[in-house]
Amino acid sequence: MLKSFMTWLDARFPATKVWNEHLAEYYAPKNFNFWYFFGSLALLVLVNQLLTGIWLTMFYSPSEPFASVEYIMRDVDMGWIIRYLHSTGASAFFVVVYLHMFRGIIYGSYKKPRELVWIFGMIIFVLLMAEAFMGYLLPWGQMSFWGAQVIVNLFSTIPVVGGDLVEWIRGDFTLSLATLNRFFALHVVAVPLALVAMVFLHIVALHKVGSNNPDGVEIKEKKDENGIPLDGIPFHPYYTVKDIVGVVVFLMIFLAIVFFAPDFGGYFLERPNFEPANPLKTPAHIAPVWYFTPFYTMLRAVPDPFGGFLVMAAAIVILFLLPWLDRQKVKSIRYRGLSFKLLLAVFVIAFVILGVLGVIPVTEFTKWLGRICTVYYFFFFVALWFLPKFEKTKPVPERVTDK
Amino acid sequence: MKKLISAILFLLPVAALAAGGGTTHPNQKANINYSDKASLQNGAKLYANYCQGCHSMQYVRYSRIAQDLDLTEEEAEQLILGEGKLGDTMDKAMDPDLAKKWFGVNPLDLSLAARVRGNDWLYNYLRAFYIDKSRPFDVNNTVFPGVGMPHILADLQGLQVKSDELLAAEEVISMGKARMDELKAAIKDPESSAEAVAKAEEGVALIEEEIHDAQLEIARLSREGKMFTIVEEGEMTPEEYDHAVRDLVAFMAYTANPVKLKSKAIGLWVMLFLLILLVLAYFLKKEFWKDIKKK
Repeated sequence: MLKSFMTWLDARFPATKVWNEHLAEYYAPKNFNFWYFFGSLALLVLVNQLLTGIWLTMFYSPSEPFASVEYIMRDVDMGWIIRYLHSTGASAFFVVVYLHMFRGIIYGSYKKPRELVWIFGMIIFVLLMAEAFMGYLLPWGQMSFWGAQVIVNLFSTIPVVGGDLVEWIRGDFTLSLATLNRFFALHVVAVPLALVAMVFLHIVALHKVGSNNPDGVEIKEKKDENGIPLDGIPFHPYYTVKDIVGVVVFLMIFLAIVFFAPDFGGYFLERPNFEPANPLKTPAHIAPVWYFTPFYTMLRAVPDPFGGFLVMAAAIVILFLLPWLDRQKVKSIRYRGLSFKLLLAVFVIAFVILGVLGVIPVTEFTKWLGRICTVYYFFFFVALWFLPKFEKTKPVPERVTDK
Repeated sequence: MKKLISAILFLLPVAALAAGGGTTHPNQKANINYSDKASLQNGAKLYANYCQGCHSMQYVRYSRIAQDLDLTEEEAEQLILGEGKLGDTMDKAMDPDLAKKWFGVNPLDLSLAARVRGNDWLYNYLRAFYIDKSRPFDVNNTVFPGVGMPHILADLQGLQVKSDELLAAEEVISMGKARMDELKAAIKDPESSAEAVAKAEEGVALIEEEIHDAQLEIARLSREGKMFTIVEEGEMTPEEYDHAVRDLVAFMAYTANPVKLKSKAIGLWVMLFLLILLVLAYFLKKEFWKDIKKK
């Protein structure tokens, strides 16, 4: 019965073909480690955001934003769970995506032939930032309003067209419900569509070239008589069952935050955001949500606003160029030299410091610390270009190692 | 990886500290107990009697309070202001236009006050009113200087003034700051001699120390509950009053986040379920991967 149905289906749609190419006969390296959980986790969080987002949209009203969020929190059955899943999900998305990107850097996963996988991933990252930014305006609290105000006004620093551009973005002379309405449309329809499309392309591109691994060895170069990579194992069932373990561990942390500390000490839901937006009252200090803070610090590091805007934009653009900036042929950090390890370790520390500096008020000391870290952020990419001249790499094995 | 984790662990407390901003006194902990129904019920009663006249809780329904706080229908109805019904939200009695005329502002909606300000802030604020004849309602507040609200709980607490010790410490600080400004001007003045500058710098260091000591003194008074002296007794002793304020804050913490207790209860079951699922998932993975390892 099922078999004849599948025959009927396969004659009309490549169901079995897709299943095999992407799961049952997609050969992934057998030595994936901890860092390889975050791709599937990002997909899980995306689905969480889409589903909880759909349900929130059923009750949210952009004409009464703050009140309708409170309505969801209090009067809608289980509304608070849906909302906390969505708000915690936003932060979780950036946690897993940052770790996923870090994995790419330590194992050189963006290097030939995976440049496009990285580029598509970077587009996803930029879309995600836009999605998070616009979503943050929707509760229409004080931080929603003033955070959006600061970011939208960045565009006014652009010479000549700045003023008109900002007005065009806001759809009004000030940040208002007109702005919120268009952000709502972009947040629930336009950007999610683009995100899903890009995730699809990210995976298609990945499955064309095959996954990298912690050894940075191309498993397709050593195949058995059937053309199956010697170090490859079918993604399904091996990595599906392994990822389930990762998913459960992730859910334990994620849901512990959702149920026990959804504010996460004011970092996931900021205190001033429980006060309705008030254009006449500026909060004592405006800090973006934690996942934007490294870039926010870079913005503030430059005295000239337009200069800061350019530096912040450059910090993102330079990530796109990573596959060509990192000229070292050896992919994995396991076989790269000490110079690379140090360079990267300091990069991580600088990035974390930039993040912390974005939440705390500026003092003379933090201003300079922020500048030093900003300079280092860019130095890292320049240094990668020159590194192969000095770097003492170790020999890369022929096959993946058992570790 | 380890470097990353230790860097984060090192920096997080710094961020938390810095985010705290300036401290106001008193700054005691509210120590509320969400699961103490009697405390929440008493807080609801206090809220209805003293706050609801001017402040609304426009997102909170009487029926929900009755349900969550185990109130009978009659008890819940006593909370209702005027003509309201059990399913209504807690609106205020006062006309917003009149309020604006009387107080200069329309009193805040308090549904989420505890989430905006924090429980401790509310607890300290409600105990920090003192007589100040220069203010429109003859009271000021150390936690919220220049407050626009009258001391509505004066019947219960009585009226207090700043204690002599507190006044003395505050005097040291304001005098010191004034003198410091003079000295700093002298340091910047290009006509000052090198000797005069050195002397002024010495003076600044000395005053900074004095101010620091005075601030420590205020913190001590705050800790020991010696910031104020009661000059007109209220219906309650200071201990009883603190207790009443704690109940009121507990009620406001509840209205700001009515699902807190329920959320914890559900969360525990979720964790238990995931723990069992983790064991199953782990063995499932192990079973499948048996054939891979030895290849």
